[in-house]
Amino acid sequence: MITVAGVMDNEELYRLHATELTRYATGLVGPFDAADVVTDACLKAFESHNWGEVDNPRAYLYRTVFSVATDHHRRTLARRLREVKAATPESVPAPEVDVDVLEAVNRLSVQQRAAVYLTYWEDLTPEKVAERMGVSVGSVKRHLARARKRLGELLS
Amino acid sequence: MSDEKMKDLMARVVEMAPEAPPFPEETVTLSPRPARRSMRPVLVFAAAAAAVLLVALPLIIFSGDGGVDPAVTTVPAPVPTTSVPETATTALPEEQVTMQVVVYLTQEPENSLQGNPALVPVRVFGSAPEGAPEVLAALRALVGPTLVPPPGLGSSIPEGMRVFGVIIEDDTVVVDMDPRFLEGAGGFLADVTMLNQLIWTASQGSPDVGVRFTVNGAEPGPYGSDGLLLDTVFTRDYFLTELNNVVVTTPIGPESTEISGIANVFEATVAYEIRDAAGEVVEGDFTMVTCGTGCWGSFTIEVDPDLLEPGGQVRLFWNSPEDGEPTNVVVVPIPEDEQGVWGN
Repeated sequence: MITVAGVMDNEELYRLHATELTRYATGLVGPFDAADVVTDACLKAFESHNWGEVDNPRAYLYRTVFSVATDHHRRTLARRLREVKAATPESVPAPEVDVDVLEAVNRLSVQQRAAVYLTYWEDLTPEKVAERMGVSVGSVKRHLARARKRLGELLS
Repeated sequence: MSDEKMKDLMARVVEMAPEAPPFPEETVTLSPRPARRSMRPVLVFAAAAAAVLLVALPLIIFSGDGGVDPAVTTVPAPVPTTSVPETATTALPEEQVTMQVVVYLTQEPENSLQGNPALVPVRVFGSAPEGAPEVLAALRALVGPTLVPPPGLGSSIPEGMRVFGVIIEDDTVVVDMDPRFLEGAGGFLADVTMLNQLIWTASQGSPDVGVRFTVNGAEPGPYGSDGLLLDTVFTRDYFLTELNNVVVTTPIGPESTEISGIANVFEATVAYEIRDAAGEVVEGDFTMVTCGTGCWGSFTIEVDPDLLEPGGQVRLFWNSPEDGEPTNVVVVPIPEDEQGVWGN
């Protein structure tokens, strides 16, 4: 049964995890669309038919953010970067953007970005990363190896 | 790149993170949906029977004329509960786990008078309750409303179809469908193509396993427009005659190194072309099939992933002995995603 208390719980839960989810989304889609991804993901999760039965809401929200982020075409970030580069300084309402870093990250697949973020920012083991992403440990290791190689080439 | 540099990179990414957005207020006015699973017919029947009993019970008890045998009140509702064993389906979620799965989509033949629909495996995201077989996630992704077929591909499965559950029994995958499944897909070929999609998707773990269908936990009745009987264990070769003569069995992505499949083609020769996103042929060659001209054999093509450009395509076919024209062409689009996953 759905009650106001249940809705309040969502809000409380959201307040608890919104910052880390936004960071995660930034790692996946860049800073421009991170907030939208988090909002979409949370709406999707809260409206999910099985939301009330979820044992680990935090893990579920992470997976939903990942799922929503994969729907974001990687060119979206590329387009945003082009806009940033083309914009005059006055027209940029300017979050501090490290274009080089974002351009390098943009060359990774969303899966690689997720593996890198969860491994190097959240310090999760490959097993935990695999669990968070819903893929095998082998996949995580492959994502990491390719991401490191590609980033090494791009940022050397 | 060293771990320190990777950590530093992530720190720089996180530094760019914007403020967390406000709580999505719309949810305050929304009630989270009740479980989407509609009541199954037997449960509806049970509920109806229970309701009838509840209404009838006072009348029976207080009828007073002895005309109604009191024993009637103790007769259990005629609910065929045994037809839905608890193990018949994988119960709907606890927690859903999202994973990459392979689903078999269809491609219409270029000339419907000369060929049958092709099956094309594509990698998508699917989800299933934690601990459920991966194939359940695949089947639910295949029939689910969120599947968006890649360019040139489609599905014979009507909208609104549902897979209730899956059980793995030794070398058989039992797929429990909702009753709507028995209506088929609208015509014999579409009916069989839908079965092929389900069978090939359900047997992706091992092409030799069989697939058996149940409907609501019970043996299925006649299926589709021709009333096909489904009281058997299907393998991938069961409906081969209704498929294109070239079938690809490996999903293709920008990092694929080989493409496998089966074919029944003239002189056991499958030709292929790799085209870039502009449609230019960047490689064309042929390979031998293990059996040909009247029999099905398998083939594997080694490819250079550098040639597999996102937005491009791989075309497989055989050349007609009459005019050399590509025949039974299968066109497999190459996704953007490095792992070959199509968004869904």
